[in-house]
Amino acid sequence: MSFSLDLHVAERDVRLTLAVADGETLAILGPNGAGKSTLLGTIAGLIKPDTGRAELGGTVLFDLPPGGGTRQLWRPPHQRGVSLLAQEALLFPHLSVLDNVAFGPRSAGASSSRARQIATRWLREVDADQLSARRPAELSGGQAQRIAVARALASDPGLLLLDEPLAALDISVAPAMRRLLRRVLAERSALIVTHDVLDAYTLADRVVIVEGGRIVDEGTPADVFDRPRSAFAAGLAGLNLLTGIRRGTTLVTADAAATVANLPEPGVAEGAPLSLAVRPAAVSVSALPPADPALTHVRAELIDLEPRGDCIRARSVVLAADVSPKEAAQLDAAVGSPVWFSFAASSATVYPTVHSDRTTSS
Amino acid sequence: MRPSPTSYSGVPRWVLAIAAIGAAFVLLPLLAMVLRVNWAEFVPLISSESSVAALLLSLRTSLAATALCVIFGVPMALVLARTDFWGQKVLRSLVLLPLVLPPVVGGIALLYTFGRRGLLGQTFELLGIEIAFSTTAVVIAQTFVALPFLVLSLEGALRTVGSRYEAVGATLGASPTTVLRRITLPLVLPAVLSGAVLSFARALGEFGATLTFAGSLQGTTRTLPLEIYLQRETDPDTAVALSLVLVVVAIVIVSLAHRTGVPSRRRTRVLS
Repeated sequence: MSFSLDLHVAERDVRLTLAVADGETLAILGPNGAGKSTLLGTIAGLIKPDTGRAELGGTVLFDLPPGGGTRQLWRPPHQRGVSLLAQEALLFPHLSVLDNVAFGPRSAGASSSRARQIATRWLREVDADQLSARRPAELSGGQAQRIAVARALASDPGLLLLDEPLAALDISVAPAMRRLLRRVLAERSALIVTHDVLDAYTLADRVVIVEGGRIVDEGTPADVFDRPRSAFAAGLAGLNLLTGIRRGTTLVTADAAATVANLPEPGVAEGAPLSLAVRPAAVSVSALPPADPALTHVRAELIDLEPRGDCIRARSVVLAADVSPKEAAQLDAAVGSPVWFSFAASSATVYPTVHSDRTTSS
Repeated sequence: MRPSPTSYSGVPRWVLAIAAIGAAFVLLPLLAMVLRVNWAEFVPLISSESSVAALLLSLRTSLAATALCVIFGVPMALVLARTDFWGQKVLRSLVLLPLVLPPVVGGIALLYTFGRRGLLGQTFELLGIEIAFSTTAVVIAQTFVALPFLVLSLEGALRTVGSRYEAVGATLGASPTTVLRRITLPLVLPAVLSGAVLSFARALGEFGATLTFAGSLQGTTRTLPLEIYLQRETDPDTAVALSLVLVVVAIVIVSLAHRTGVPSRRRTRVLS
């Protein structure tokens, strides 16, 4: 079912408008405290906002116009057809796995045998029919979360809300769970809050980045993460993001702290705002200017060298580079002084900076 | 539960000594009473007509009071634990007042509520119902003093369980009544049972409010504690024998409450 939401929480300065098309999965990403979980709670009917309006498949979930008045409408959670899958499975501890999954159909008025029939079908769908007689306390975290998925789907929701469904899982079971979600979310209207770019890529048709109570970026996962518009999205995608304006074949960063020389195909007019994204792994660091003058390069102070798994991250205010331990050892003396960061033009993405609402115009 | 022999307990010896004195303080009077029991006459003493009447009346009224405590206490605990309204804290303290009030004071308050010239007494009299000095009065007095026990223990359990399961139930399409019936009550059932057992125990031991509000009429309002108090003057042997009966009933109740009140390990793990 198609879903639309307009939300305004004055005291927290949140103003969000979003829509989910029929069968679409929308991922919401944002820093902690951006109000993502509150957003899901509001849609599920567990948290009441100041003003706003939401509609699901032609049914108004809530309509709270500014200034209150008599036109207020607030549909209780059990009449919304919206299921919420949280980080924790929250299976009812006193019911068997089968009865947990049968809870939704039973509440919708199905007979006990019919509800169990539906539950069995969904347990099979998540490959957990062999667990049906167990108690939740006898399940592992991954098993419990799979049952929770079956339980949420068995209630036949018009919209499925997922609040970081993989965050509490062991990394060894998360991939299987992600595949399961990909399978069941296809052709289903869903909203998923996540911190994980991989979740967004594998599960979502569209991504929304929320920062400071506003939508700062929106588009397909490839749009948002290949050409990030916000430092947050760039960080999630693991990219250096440089923004500034074009001056000839250089990019001068916003505070004029650095100049990136030898831009590949700027594609914007002189003086126009420009963004450049490049992977730290593609960037080299040297104490002397790069030997190859064709490389794109920028001179900046090396702040420090921090180990990251099998490579070392060389950081500056402008951008970061991943170097080998051997190179890092050579750079150690240069910490605190300016060095050269350089990369091949082909490894960077350069694109015009457009502020917000990328898809609303398209 | 016995700690494993290797675990470090860390309780100083002088603490153990003081604890032993405290335990003796509780157990010695019981022992003194048991030693004073006239065992040869024990069965005839507790099976006299007045004793049996008092015992049966006590059990009957206490069960009725426990039922009333559950009927009114469960909704009260739910409202206190799950809703948020102005003056809730004050209301909670007032509801729990009978816990700390001298029972005699409770009896007087009840008398001026349900008594012949009380607040509601005249209304009941018009309907042809006379409450004061009847078995109904005994049940009311017992409910009055026992209700806070159930409300208190159940409210605590409801807060511990939290409302997250209830929220999940609601998003799965369950109406508030269905959520209450299929999620909330099953989750706090151990607390309802232990609260009911505690209320029953309190009702069984009720003395002051009953005497003040219901009087002491054999077979109608003279419950076991009243009978014991009465016999103490004339027939100490009967008083001691009946006291022992109450002690045994109390021990059975405490062990029952302990068993239902302590959730099984599995349940604890799930809820934590």
